[in-house]
Formats: sequence, C-alpha cells, structure tokens
Amino acid sequence: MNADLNKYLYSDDGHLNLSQLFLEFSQPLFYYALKFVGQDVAKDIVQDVFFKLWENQDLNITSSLSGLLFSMVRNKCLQHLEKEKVRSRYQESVVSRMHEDEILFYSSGFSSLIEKELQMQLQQAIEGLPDKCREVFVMSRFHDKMHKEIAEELGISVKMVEKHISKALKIIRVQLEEYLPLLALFPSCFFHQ
Amino acid sequence: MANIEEIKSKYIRKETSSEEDQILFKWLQDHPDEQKEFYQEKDIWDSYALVKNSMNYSPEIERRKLRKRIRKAKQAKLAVLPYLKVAAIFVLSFMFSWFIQSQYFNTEQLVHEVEMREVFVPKGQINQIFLADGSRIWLNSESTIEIPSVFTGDERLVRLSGEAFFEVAEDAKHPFKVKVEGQTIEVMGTSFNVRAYHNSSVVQTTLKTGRIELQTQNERLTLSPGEQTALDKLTGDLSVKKVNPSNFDSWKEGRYEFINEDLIEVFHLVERWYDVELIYNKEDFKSMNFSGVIKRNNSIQHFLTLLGHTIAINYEIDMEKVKINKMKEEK
Repeated sequence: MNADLNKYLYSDDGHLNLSQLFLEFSQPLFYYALKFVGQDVAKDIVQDVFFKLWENQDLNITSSLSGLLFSMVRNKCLQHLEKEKVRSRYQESVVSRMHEDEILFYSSGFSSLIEKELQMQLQQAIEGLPDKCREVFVMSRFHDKMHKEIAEELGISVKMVEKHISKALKIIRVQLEEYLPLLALFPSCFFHQ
Repeated sequence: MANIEEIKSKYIRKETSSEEDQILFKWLQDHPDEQKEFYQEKDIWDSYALVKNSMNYSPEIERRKLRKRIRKAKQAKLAVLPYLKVAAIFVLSFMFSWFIQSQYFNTEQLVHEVEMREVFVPKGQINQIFLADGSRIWLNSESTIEIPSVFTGDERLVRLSGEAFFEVAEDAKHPFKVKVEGQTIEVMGTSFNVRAYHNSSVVQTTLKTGRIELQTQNERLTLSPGEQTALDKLTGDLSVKKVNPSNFDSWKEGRYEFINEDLIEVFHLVERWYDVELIYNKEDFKSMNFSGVIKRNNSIQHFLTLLGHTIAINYEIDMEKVKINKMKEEK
C-alpha cells in the first residue's frame, strides 16, 4: 500500500501527482457520490475534491490516500444535502435524510464495494447467480427496462420479476459478505501509514 | 399498504413515490438492525453501475475540466495580471475621454454624460487602478470603488466601500474627494489609507504623506502625516492617534501588520484575505487584541498557528470553513 501511495502521491519534484491520481480515482469517486446525489452534483464534487487537493499540496496525509478521497467525497455530499434540505420542502427532504443516514453508515466503518475495489468480485458474484435470476437482474439494472416489460418478455409475472431481483441482491450480499464484514470489523487496518 | 420489501427494492432502483419514501424512512428508523442489509443491497445495485460505467463517465474529459480550473486559479494568484488589465483599460479610457473632451467639447456640456464606473475586488485578491490624472489606488479584498468615467467640474470624487490606499496626484484646482460611509476625505496631493468595511463599526483613515481634510457629520478635521482617525459609525465619535502609517498600508505588498488590533476585526480581515469563513463564538474573543504579521501567500493555517501562540485555541478546517474554539483555561 505504501509503495502504491508514493506512486500516486508525488512526482519527481515532490508535488502531488494529481493527473495520475485523477485518472485512477475519479471514476470510482463519481459513482460513489452518485449513491447520495445526482449526476451533475456528483461530477462537481469530484472536481472540488481534486481542486482542494491541488490547493493543499502540502497536505499531511496520515491515513490511506484512498480513504481520504472517499471521506472528502462523503463530506462534500453531506454539505450538499444540507443545503438541499434548506432549499426544498419537507417531502424531498425525506430522501435527503435517508441519504444522510446512508453516508453516516459509511462513515462509521462500513465500506462500499466501490471503495474497496471489489468490482471484480461483484461481477463474479453476478455471473454465479442462477440463470433466471441473473437475466432479470441485468435486464432491470442495465437495459433500464420496466418490470412490466421484463415480465412480458420472459413470460413471468411482475411479482416474480421483483422476487428475482430481491433474491439476486440477497445472494450477492451473502457472497460478498466474506469480504465486507471483515473490513467493518477491523477498519483500523486500512489506516496504516 | 405496499409491502416493505417491494418498497425497498423500488427505492434501490430510484422508483419510489414520495409516500413510499416516507414509509421507508419511518421503517428504517424503526428497524435500525435491518439498515446494514438494506444499505449493502443498495450498494450492490449502485456499485454495479461502476462495473458497467452506466453513466459514461469520462475521466479524461473531467480531467481536462480540472486542468482548466487550476489554470484559472493560477492566473488569479498572480494578482499582477488582472491589475495590468484593469490598469490598461482605465488609463486608455480616461486618456481617450480627456483627449476628446479637450479637443472638441466644452467641459460643461459633458457633465450629464458622466457615468459612474464600479470596480470590485473579490475576496482573496488585491487590485491596483491607475487614473488618468496620475493618481493610483490599491484596492484590498472585498472592496468596491466607484469612479466617474471622466473627472469633470472642479473636484475629483470617488466612492469607496472596503479598504484602499490612495496616492493622489497633486492638482490644487481640482481637489480629490473620497466618500465612504460616514465621512468624506478631501485631499490635495497625498497618500493615505482608508478602511471602511460595511461589517465593521469603525472607519479608519491613516495619513502617510501630505495633508487631508476629513469631514464627518459633526466635525471637520485636518490630519498631518502619521495621524490616524477612527470614526465610530454608530456614535459619530472621531478619535485621533499617532501611528506608523507603513503598518497600515503594507497589505498592498501582501502583508498585514497588526499591533494590538481588535481580534474580531482581525478575523474579518483574515476571512476576506483567505476567502474563508471563520466560525467562532464572538463572546470568547471579545475585547482581545492581536499583534503579528500575516502574509497573503501564507496559508490560513499559518495564521491559526500564530494565534495559537497567544491564545489557547483549537481549530478544524473543513473546506472553506474554519472552526475556532477557545480552549478552557486550566490551572
């Protein structure tokens, strides 16, 4: 981890190698922010985080660099939701509240698959799903199909579509649990160096 | 009522109605032990978007945006650049209008065509303006000055809000006047500093060279070099003291020198200079003084460290917000 860190952190003249860092982390950070805020805001937040890094080049990074980046994104998202709450009416602010709670969940030691770079494992877990289950999951998630359409196409009921998706999520969660809870139990091991 | 499992799954897919959001919100509050599973299932859904890059996010395009922003910020850091631009525009426009005026028109005819121009310097910057009459004005952060497009009539009048240092070219026939909240300064040929921020209760005028005449609602006063006045905007009281004027215009060179300056006032200056918001309890720092030098190209951290030498404080910096807490005195 430490060697990696140096690769990103500093170029020869001792400055933060922002370009490298951006190419490596901006995409995961964008999708991470997208969990809590809209697309445009998420893009802005990623920009702001890296701009902040540029402004504070002499930043003393004591924990992991990626941990710092993800927590900066979380903070920016919280700030945005805070503003949103003031602006919007009660109804929309329920969603803001839920997103805030979700961010706090991630601040308290739990990690997203994105943060832990578990995309490969996620991909594998999806491939390992029972056929029907996987088909429905992928159709719904990526072809942006309404459940009614999926139901018609596969000749099953809408209720079954829902069931398949819930089932898919449960199976994947249990499979990936072997990576995640460990991380949640020993968060300190990611803050070395 | 809809089944909660269904609502959860709909929420994960971002398809819930606002009533369903309410139901889910309440359910999550009532079932804290179920939260982890719910968030993890949502996380699976959300994370798969990264696997497929479903939003077509392009790090390359975004990186270009960042580069542009950094380039702009670098330019802004070189205060010289914007000042040169402003200076050039002013010199040119003033010279041109003077030229036209003297060649073709009678001054009196032009009076009604004089426009007021406004120059504003945002937080975190300093700017310099040259006037066609040879005068120079340095504008500090978050200050606005209004200048007529042409000086006509028998006086040269400008309006200021904020802080500025003036080096006024001598012209006995056309006295130079600076209007700020609560007072007017009349100048022959001289240099002086005015600090008149709207969020401060005091207007401070420091004379460096020459002679100026100050007109407030109640008083008229002539200053000699090295004298400084403080006008209390509330009561209208005007006090005079002797100072070293260089301490009060060093900000032009990017340096603030404080000698027993009111701490709250210093906080205001720091906010303007570093473009940050300080959050503190006013009562904690009331009637305290600060002495020291701060530089514009130092960071806010530097100031906080400096302050920490005299007062026990702790602080948190979060983006543009800085929280300062006074620590309880221990024996």
